[in-house]
Amino acid sequence: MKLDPSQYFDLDKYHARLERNRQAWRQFMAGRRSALTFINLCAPSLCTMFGVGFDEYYTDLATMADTQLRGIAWRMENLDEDELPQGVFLDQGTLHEAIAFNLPVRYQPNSPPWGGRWIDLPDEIDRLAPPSLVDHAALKQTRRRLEDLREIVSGVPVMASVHLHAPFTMAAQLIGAEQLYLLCIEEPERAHRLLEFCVRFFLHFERVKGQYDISAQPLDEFVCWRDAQCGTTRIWVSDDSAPSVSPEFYRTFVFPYNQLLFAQFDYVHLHMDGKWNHLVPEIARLKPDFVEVGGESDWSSAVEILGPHAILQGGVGGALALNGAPKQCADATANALAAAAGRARVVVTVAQEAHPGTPAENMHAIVDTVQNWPENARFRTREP
Amino acid sequence: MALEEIQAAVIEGNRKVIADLINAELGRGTDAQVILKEALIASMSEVGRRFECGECYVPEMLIAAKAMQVGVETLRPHLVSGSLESAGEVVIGTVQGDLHDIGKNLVKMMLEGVGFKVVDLGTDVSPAAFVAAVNPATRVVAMSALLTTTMQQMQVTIGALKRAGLRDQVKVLVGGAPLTLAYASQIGADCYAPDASSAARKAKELVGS
Repeated sequence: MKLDPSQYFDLDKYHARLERNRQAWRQFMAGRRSALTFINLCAPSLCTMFGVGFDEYYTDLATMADTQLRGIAWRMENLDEDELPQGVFLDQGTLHEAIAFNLPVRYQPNSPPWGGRWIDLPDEIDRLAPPSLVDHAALKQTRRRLEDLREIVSGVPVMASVHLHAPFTMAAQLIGAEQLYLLCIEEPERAHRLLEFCVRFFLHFERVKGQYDISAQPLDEFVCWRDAQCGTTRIWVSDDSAPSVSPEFYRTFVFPYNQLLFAQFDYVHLHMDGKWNHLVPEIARLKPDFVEVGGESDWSSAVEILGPHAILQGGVGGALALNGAPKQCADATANALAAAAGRARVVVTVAQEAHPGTPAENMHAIVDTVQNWPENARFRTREP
Repeated sequence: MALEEIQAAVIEGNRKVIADLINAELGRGTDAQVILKEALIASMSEVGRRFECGECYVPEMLIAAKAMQVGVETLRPHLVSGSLESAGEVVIGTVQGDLHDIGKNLVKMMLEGVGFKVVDLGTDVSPAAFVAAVNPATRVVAMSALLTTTMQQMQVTIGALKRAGLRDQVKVLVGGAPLTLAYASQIGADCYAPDASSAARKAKELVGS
């Protein structure tokens, strides 16, 4: 099956939009504008929007590509954002550790796929040895799937990436979050050994995965902004198991390993789901370059403490965007912009991503409020 | 003093000493029911309070709940049959398509901590499995979801309970990171709990105990 993007949207308009977005990004990075906006529509939203089953989306490449192309068309038609997907990507859900550790994967009809655990018993940590990355079956399969996807779609970039979680969350993926929390409290030395292993493996994997040519194509710095997957100097890391812990616990089991890891890269884009107001000062000490602020977290304190050093993304809660009225979404957006004014560069969006079923009117309200914000209005250009 | 030691051990999650402390207290002639209520249940209430006001977090709550479980198991042979008063039976599970279990496990342990009998269906529980687990003793069906994609299964499950004629028999309690009170109302749940501690408290309110 072949899919032609021009059957979904006008390619000239698409490229013009991308170029306009690049300009917006450059203005933003040069400090000439302080806010951008886009709506993060991931597979759950797109599948819901177009009535596609998750198992079909993740297992059938043509369905995956078709869904993403329809998503781009919908966004071009409906939202005047500062970002559009730069093509089609091999969507692997949360399977990155499963790929890196060659774990079995379970596909389900109503949920993204899941990888099995790599460590069943804590004492296995004492015998930890990294999986061989030579002739790595899962990486080779990922590379094959990327080639198959490129056979299906032409005319726009087709990309893939495998990016591991931050050490603490990687450990939670390998042993289970509940088990990891208990391990940290009851057997801290063993927990530290596991976390050290995760840092070492992360760095080793980053070096080796390039051999399989599965990194995204480093098209330009604009791509790097959203998906910092362009080699060994920039990383996008997710640390979703960390917000559940106390500041003291974070300082002991999370911070040191993130610090070790982040020091190896020039640019760190940090994603953390959930509520982590209590960890903002710790995260600030890590000096990430870009932080996605969890929907339940306090935007104002993130702006105050992280804003001087990092670009912040978020500002509107997912629940409000899903259940609220457009006026409420517009007000929340305006409040986020006002809180950041003069204090931080921000990308205002639904944090972390739009929930499935979020009304288009609410997405409009967010995007339009940012685009019409007085400081941004002067950058408005006519729709290409 | 000894009851306070047991309380402190549960709150600190020191499960290695719980059994010894309880056995020593039983040896001093303290009634098992007293230990259960004044040491174990009281300590989990305190953990819940600390969690709700941000004084402790998921790992500390988890380990305290594990200690509580050890305590209940230690006491169980000493409780006169039927004297372990149940606040009612709760059927709990993470909804279909969702394999997350920490939140569900914490709620389960907190529910047990306040006296409920809990039937744990595990994760990835289909609406049919929830329906099949409800029996005449079931007072509450508790559902957990961590994903925005899977929380929609809660509504499907409530629909299945209705079709099976069971909806009026049970109260439905829902929770999980992406949920809100508004969403819980929208799907027809009876109650929304933002965390494990409040889930236990709200379950007690639901059954009027």
